[in-house]
Amino acid sequence: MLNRNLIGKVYKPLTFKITGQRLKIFAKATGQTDPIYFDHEAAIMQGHKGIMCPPTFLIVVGMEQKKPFQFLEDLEIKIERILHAGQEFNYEEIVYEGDKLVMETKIIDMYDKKEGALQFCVLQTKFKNQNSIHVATLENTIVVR
Amino acid sequence: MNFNLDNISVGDKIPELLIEPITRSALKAYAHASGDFNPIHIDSNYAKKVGMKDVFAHGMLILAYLGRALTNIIPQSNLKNLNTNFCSITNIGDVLTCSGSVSEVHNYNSKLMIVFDIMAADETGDIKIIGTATIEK
Repeated sequence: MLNRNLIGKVYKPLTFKITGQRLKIFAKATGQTDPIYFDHEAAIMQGHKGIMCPPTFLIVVGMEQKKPFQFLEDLEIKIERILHAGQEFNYEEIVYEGDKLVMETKIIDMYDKKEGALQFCVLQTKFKNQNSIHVATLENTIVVR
Repeated sequence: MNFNLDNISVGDKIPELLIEPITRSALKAYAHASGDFNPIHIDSNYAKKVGMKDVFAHGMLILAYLGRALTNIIPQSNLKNLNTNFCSITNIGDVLTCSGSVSEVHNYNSKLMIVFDIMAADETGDIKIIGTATIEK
């Protein structure tokens, strides 16, 4: 049984600057063919302020923490026991290269299925940009097998 | 190519996106690109030790492919929500296809909202990711 007392736990905010270089590496690794995701000039030509962050890129920011899996330590769960069960993104504003994001993650829910055989934990992460504008909210559900 | 969002009906399909067979090097590349170095995706010995057949793909890599299938035809600024479940793991050599079709079209606060059912499945039809994408026009 996961420690449900941890519901509501908020992790220290992390600031992360989105670089064009990082976006280019991400675009290459995900087979991206649209140049607005890896070519600065092409993005500008199409009216954007720079290379655009693709829809799933914000997950990367969470991995920049010193211990991205700290919540697993808190839950006393070994990493090999978890799988990514679900992922939701709510988008408010497009994020571009050069933006500086602040992310804050919170454990918002835990529940179980199959009489406790599968346990779930939901983390919510909110992202603001350098102008304190809320740009996106992510909800990541992991299952402990 | 852009999908015509002004003239859209329930059942309309987005063009399918066929993904190259998943390779170990693709998983290594995604680990470096994403910072997700969970060894279960990159170290075969480790994966076997913890009871898996071999390494398997990051769910988020497959979701990135599904995102591409959407942004190939819809400007990303119209994408408001992506909500997906990971149903089964993607193994080395799997050949995935990303697909989607319109499941709902309605007006909300004088804006047109279009919901797509989206999925990524392998060549045997095994569904890896299923979910919805909500577009605002």
